[in-house]
This record gives sequence, structure tokens and C-alpha cells, in this order.
Amino acid sequence: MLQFEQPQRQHSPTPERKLGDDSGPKAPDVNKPEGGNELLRRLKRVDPDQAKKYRQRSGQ
Amino acid sequence: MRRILAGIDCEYGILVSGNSAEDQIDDSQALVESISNEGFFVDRRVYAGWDYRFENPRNDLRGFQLKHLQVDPTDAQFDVGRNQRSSIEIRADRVLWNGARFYNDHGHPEYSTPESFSIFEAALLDAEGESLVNRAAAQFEHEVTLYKNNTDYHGASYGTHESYLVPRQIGFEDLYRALIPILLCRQILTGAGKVGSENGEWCDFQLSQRADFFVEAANAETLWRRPVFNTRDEPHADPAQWIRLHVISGDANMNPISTALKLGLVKLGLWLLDADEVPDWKIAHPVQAFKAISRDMSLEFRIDLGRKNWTTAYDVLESYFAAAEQTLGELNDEAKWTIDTGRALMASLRGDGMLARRSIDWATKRHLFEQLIEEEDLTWRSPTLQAYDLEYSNIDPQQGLFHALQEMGEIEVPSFPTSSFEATRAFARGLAVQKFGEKIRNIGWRGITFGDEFIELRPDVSYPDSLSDIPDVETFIQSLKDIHASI
Repeated sequence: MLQFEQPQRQHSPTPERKLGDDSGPKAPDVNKPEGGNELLRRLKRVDPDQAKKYRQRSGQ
Repeated sequence: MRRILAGIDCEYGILVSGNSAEDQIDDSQALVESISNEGFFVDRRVYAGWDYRFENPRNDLRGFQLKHLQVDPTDAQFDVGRNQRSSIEIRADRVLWNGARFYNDHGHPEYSTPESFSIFEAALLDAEGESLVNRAAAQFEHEVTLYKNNTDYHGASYGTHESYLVPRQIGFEDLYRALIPILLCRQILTGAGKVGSENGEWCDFQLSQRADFFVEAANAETLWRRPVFNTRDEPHADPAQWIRLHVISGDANMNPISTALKLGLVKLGLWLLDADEVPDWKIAHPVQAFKAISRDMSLEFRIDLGRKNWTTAYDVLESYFAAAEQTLGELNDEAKWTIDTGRALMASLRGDGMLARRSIDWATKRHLFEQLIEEEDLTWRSPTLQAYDLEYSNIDPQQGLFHALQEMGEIEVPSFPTSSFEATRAFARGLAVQKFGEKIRNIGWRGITFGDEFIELRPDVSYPDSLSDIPDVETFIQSLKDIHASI
């Protein structure tokens, strides 16, 4: 779970993962009052290779 | 404590669907021009446009002029076989209703905020720039994504620069002595954060987007061989009286708290310099120190002082805070907020980190990415993580990850002191564009040319609201002359 309101643990125990479960980000427990998790929705839309493909000219 | 005029120039990363870096100059120009029909701008096709007469980026604060500025050799490859067009046409300068400048700088849409006396207003104006650039994107004929960051993760960097008005009598040596410690250390409170590295050994994550690109402690370059302290002497005001301190080592911040704080910390150094009370730090190797701080994930932030002596970024910043409290008398709102916020964030970094990760872009990112690594079985070297890093800075409020966190209440709301902001020369520039645009021959930071007459805009005074009531250009010009003559 993505946590934002609790102190960060320095050494988290290895999470127990179920085999065959859905891959991809889980829902953070930070929800908008009206429901839904905007961050999760956006993370799922990100092209994993977006930065790999991103090329820019040098600016100042 | 004198008022210090400052502004922020942000070059945005631009990605047009189906296009690449070869097309970037054309894309950026087209994006800037896509909002030319709103009536707020000086259009170069109708008027002469931006006034470049007073701009020479090769002048060095140390009293000499470079023969030429170096460029990134990779960029030259993008231009092979392309038609060479005039730089004026490519830049597509626009001056906005608020006195800001919007143009195409080296293939990046750049929003230069109106100058402000307030770090709080500057942060708001920088955020307003995001809205303006988003409007341009909405009106652009192609699908485009714009990033408020400073790297493409492949060795190309583009800048977010700050400008500060400084009296000419303050020389380079004193400015360097006062500000190098601040420029090195402020990244712990204001760095934008980056996954990976683009120079030297790999690192998983670092505080600064720009650290990989610095190779010298001080020089006048900005496109290649970049320095921690930039010595470009291009004052954007009367050069006999003023220097424009041109800071290029900061990051583009999504969080307005970081934006205000990075300006406040530099101003603190300048105020201490005015009072001759700058803490005496002799940092042995500024470039190495900048990079070491950026990559120190232990958050200890040690700095080598030479001869086996060392300190930490925390102690350096605290020395400036303490010196200001002890020597500057009654502190203004900017100094008080900078010190209070700086101390609170340093305490957070050394404590539970909660305030830091709500207030500092790099801390927000690191916290998010560490959880995603765990949840998604990623590693720091996973391309997906850099993709998330990039998307954090996507300025589209409907797409960007920072904006998602902000919407979800995970980002600290700035507690800027409420006060009215004094109007600067940007107010006069904006009024001129709105009301007397057809009379303007050209326009720039330093002044406005109406017909054949150049009217200098004094940078160090506040401009009265009554200027907006003036109905005719003759009275407007006379009022600007009166302001210029005032003491």
C-alpha cells in the first residue's frame, strides 16, 4: 500500500505477495473524499518506456 | 533589508506526438505562436518585437567577454540538413499582459515570470506560467506533453534560472563567497529529485536534476560545461548601476514551497552580504560537493572543507539562518518565512520526514518511488521508474503525478504570508502591451521603445496603480520618465 500519512520505515519487511495476483500498482490508502484514487489511475496510464524514448535538445 | 527584484525563467520539456528532438525547435516555436491571437502580446510580425540591443550573454562578471559560448555537440546533429532560419523568427517572442515573456529558447518553450520584489509572488507567478503554457498546449494543433523538469535522462539538460537584481558595486568575488555555500546546500530543501544519473557512476536517485551537468565552479556558460555559479553579466538594467545575478544551478520545482524557498535562500545570502555578515565557509571543491550532496541518500549531506575538515549542508544553512537573526535586525516576511521553513524542513529530514515529503519535490518522489518499487517489484534501474519520474513533472493538471498528489491532499499547502505585492516594472511593461501596443516599436526587460524614444524602466522602484488609469500614451510615457527620475 502506498502510505503518505505514516512515518516511513527504514527497513520494510519483504511484502508477502500472492502468486498470480494482478500486477501493477496497488491502491494507495489516500483517497479523495469523493472516492477513487487519482494517483493510481494516472500511474496505470504511464507508458513504462516514456522516459526511455524521451529526447530533448540541450537548453540553458 | 533592501527589496530584491527577482524573476524565474523556466524552460519546459516538450514532446509532440510523433515528433522527436530533430523537430523540437519547430515544435516549440509553433507552440509559442499558437497563442498569438489572444491580443495580449507584442507580435513580432506587426511590431519589431523583443529588444535584444542590451543583451550579450558572452559578457562575464569577472570583467571580460567570451569569444563564443559553447554548445552541446549532440544538438548540432539535430540540425544537419535543416533550413537555417533567423533567430528572431525562431524565438517568436511574446510579451504577455502581465509583463512576462514567453518565447522559444533553444527549442524549449520558456516562460519568464514578471519581475517581483516578493518570493511568494514569484512562486505564484511561476505557477501562473504553468497555466499559460497549458493554455498554449490546449490551443496547439498537435497533441503535446509539457514537462516542468530539467533533464531528458539521456544527457540533455534545460534550465530553470533565477535572476536577482544586485548593485554593480558588489563584485564577483563577494557574490561567489556569499552564495556558493547556499547554492550547494539549498538542494536539500528545494531539489526536484531525479531517478538515475547522466554522468559519472550510476546512482539510484539524487536530489538535484542539474547536478550531473556541472563541470566548473564558475563560468559564463549555460549550454555546455555548466557552472555552479554562472558569471554571465547581462544586467537587464542600466549596467552602470546593476548586475543581474543569474542563477542556473536550481531545479524546476512543481511544489511552490520549493520555488519560494530557493529564492528566499539566495536572498538571505544577498542580505547578509549587504551587511557584511556572510558566514565564512571555504568549500574545497564546489562541483564535487554539489554532486556529493545530490547523491547522498543517507541524508547526512557531508561537505569537504579541505585538510580533513568537513561540515554538513544542515550546518551551513543553519549558519546563514543564525547570522541573519543575529545581525540583520528586524527581519522581513521573506527572511522570516525562509528561516522558519528551512529549519522545519531540516528537522523533518532528520526526523520522521513527513513534512519534507509533503513539501520538497525530491522527498515526495523518493517516498513515492520507494513504495512503488516494493509494490510493483521494480528496481531503481527499471525504466518504469524514470517514466514515473518524468510524469511527476507533467504540467497537465489532468495527467501529471504531482498534480494527482496535490489533488489528493498529499502536498503541503503553502503558508505564504498574506500581503499585497508591490508592482514592479513588469506592471508598466504589461500595461504598455495591453493599452498602447500599437505604439510600441520594441520592448525588453530594460525598457520600452515608443516610436523612436526609448523609455527606461527603473528596476528598483515600485510602480503606482494610477498608471493603469492613464488614457493616453504621451502621459503614460511622461509618468514612466518621472518614475525613472525619482530617487
